[in-house]
Amino acid sequence: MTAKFLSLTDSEYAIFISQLKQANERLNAFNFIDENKKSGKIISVKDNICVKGMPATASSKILQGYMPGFNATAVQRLENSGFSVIGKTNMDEFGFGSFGLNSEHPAKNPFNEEYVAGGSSSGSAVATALIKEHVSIAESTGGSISAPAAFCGVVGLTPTYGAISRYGLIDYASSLDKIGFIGKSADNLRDVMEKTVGSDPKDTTSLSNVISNKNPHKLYVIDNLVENIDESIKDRFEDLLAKLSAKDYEIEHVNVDYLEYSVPAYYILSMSEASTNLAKYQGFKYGFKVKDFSLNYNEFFMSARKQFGKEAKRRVILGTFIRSKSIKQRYYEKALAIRHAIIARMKKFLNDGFIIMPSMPIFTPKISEVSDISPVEAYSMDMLTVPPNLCGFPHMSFPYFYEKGMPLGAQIITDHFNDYSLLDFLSEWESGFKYKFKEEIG
Amino acid sequence: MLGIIVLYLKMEKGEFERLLKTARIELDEEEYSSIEKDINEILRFFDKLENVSLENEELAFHPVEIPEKLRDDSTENKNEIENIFYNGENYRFYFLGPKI
Amino acid sequence: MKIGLEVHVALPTKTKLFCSDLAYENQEEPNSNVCPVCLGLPGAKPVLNQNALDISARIAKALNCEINEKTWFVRKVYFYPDLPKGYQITQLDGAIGIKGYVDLNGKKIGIRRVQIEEDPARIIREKDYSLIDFNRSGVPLNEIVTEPDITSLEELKNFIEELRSILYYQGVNINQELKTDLNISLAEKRVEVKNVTGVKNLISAAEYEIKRQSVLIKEGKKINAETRSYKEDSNETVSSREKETEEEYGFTFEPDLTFYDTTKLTIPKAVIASNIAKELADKNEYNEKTIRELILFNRRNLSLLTSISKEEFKKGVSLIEKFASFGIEDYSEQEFRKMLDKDVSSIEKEGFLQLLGRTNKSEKKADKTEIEAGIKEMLSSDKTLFDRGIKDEKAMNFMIGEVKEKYHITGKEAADFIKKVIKGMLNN
Repeated sequence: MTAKFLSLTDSEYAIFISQLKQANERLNAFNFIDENKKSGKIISVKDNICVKGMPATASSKILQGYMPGFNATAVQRLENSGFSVIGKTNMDEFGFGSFGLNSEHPAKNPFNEEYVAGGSSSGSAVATALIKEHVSIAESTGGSISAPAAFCGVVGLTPTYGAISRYGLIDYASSLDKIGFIGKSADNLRDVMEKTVGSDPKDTTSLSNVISNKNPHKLYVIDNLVENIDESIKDRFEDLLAKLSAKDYEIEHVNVDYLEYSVPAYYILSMSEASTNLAKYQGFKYGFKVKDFSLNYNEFFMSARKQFGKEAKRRVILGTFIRSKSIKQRYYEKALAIRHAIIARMKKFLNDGFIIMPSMPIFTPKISEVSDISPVEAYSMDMLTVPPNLCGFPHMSFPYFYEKGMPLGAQIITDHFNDYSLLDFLSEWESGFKYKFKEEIG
Repeated sequence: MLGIIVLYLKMEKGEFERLLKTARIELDEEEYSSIEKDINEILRFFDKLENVSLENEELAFHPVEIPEKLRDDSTENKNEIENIFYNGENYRFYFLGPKI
Repeated sequence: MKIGLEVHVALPTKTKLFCSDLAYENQEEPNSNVCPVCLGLPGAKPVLNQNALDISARIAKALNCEINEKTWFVRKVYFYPDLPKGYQITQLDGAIGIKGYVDLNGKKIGIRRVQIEEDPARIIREKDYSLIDFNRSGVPLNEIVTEPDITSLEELKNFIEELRSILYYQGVNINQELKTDLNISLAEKRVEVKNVTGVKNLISAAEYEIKRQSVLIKEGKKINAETRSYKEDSNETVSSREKETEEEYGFTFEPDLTFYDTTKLTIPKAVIASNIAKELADKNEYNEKTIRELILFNRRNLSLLTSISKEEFKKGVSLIEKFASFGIEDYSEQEFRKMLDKDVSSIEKEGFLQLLGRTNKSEKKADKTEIEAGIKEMLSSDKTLFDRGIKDEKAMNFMIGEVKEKYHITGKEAADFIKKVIKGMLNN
């Protein structure tokens, strides 16, 4: 098998764009579609990653109108390899969300528009389901690739922290943000991964480590993590384990200490960092502009920052609180220690096996079912995606079952810098699995 | 031996107001009441960590080890940018900013 | 009386702290040395300048600091239009240098910390808006934080002189205006005078505060712990509302950077000119104060005076003074040696130059054709200058300034002539 991407002739292009725009009116996959003809292999890019000459809003009103004058390194490397960006995909504002609903026009599930697409890389998952042979460059901080990939029946690959340069990525939480990919074939994902990984002189945290594929034949199931999920999801997951066991995978059930603290630890770290990363939005150099310069700068900034959505405001306020000198130890430093403790404990198993679990603890919810849940309820939905994200372990959500026409995803985790083993696993899985999509254009 | 006393943080009104000022966030009435309530709920959720004692655990500032990366003191790899004034108001090569 | 200082000093690098833009050269046009990093654009990331790290370690060592084996950065969050990211990348616990001191003739003034940080942008206050030039944004600084060990105005002056001399020998441009925060308390409560520019103002501000606080104490009034600012025009300090407190800065680890190993840096032994002055005075039985004045801020004088014998010393000092009195700055060590063998005690400049083997070249003034050619070249080499010069008065003034500087000409008449030539060329 080899990678195969959609590329279009001049005559096909106009038709494709009109089909895409039509579908986008229903699904809100894209914040921006570039109608200029593209000669390369078509990819899309999450709207928090800079593409020169295209708007970059991270679905935030405060970035409305921002047009970066430079490319993210990941985008630049792909363009150098013959890829063309078709547009910028919808997302939860700044990556703040698990369902894609923190956007002015939330993306909808391509299998059924009453359902959520998942978040925060909602549009990247929808675009991938929708467009033939597609890969979308996405980004995950705490589960933003796995969640929408699982809900939209596509594959979401989140590489090791630092494997891909973050230069040009609009920061949410710098010690957690990872550029990754959503696609629907192991070969395509491998191709884009190979072309983007590697140290970048413009990003201190990008790494030159060799990415390996040591393929274990052991699958660890973390019982104390999986015990709290929806019973029917558990049943489907048991079926999956049976299938994998038949493929010669040895399954072992284990417990990992401290995992119950991973979600609060994750939110503490991510909100702290987010509250500093969002300090730059002040309403005059780019994006939303406060017209009245005669306002005192404090009032000016306050006025600009009204443009943040509710979840962004919530996280900035909480993050500011957590960073306060007098309580920093209580939350922030504790969370750093928990991250360290969990990494060590998960590594013990990742040393000779994958860790496998469902991607999400629930079936794809209807938009109406989750639009009013409390923040703590929403954050708790990340219980399965947070551990590998908090710890920077490469992981991948892949579709494994269709329940009443809706896809279900499972998540497989491997050790740092062993990312390619996930794709080897996927290649093997694909040999006995058929992806289903409601429609595909291109 | 003293037992472990778990103190749940509840954010007082004055504290909440101070945070809004520090973060330069202004809330309308609806946002104010709902976010104030959410925040206390979230803080209770975070206070789960009070049960963890990890005194000698190292702190993981990054999930993987990040070796140092330094630049030479030269202009050779200058970061590219097109049209710096495209996105902001400017006047005689200066960016225009709010009153100080 | 207790005085502590936070002194900000710009480091002698070519480029900025976290990006490859020029830090000091070609700064005439605002926002001409900027990139996504120092503009604080979303998506940009900092990468540390090796040279800034090296220089900082040398400065910290020269201030007798312990060098942290691993040094790291923090984000200090506050809001001001000159701070592009809404936070400044600076250092705290992971500062490059800690627990140092400066020796003032036997008394040690403690150095709490030497930290590396980025300079904010230059901001110009206008009536209904501000103008911001990001050329300065990201220029590498050291913030030198002292303990409150200074106990008199005299000591403050001595400390600043000593510090400047130490920095000079680390290659720091000593003509820069140091920006200092001054903590000063005569009683219990600490008063901080923020952002005092230049040494002269620092001394005035301290003088004013000492008087003000003394009067309050004498009158039995209480001194408020507060932040004040120094007004240069009226030469006084006035109460200012504190922008942010330590609690609110919310310092956190800078996750876009990492830990930097300082154990592999080679740090040469620092030159402490005041110590050398003492040694030279002892060795040569010569007046220490004179030697100090000659070498505190002069590398060549230091090198000359340390290289000559006791017998030659007195003559050497006079010769250095002679060179200076004739306004000759560009002499070599060989020329110095040559003159040391001659008797120049009562010689005039012309004779001195002859002995030196230099003919007295009278400075040739540039003529009008030369200036015209220079202007033409300037306009043709910079297209934007040409375009903007037509309608933009600032660009015009900038060009006039350039030409005046290049040809060492002064006066309004000359400016008018240059303007006429430029206008003539722009209209062609």
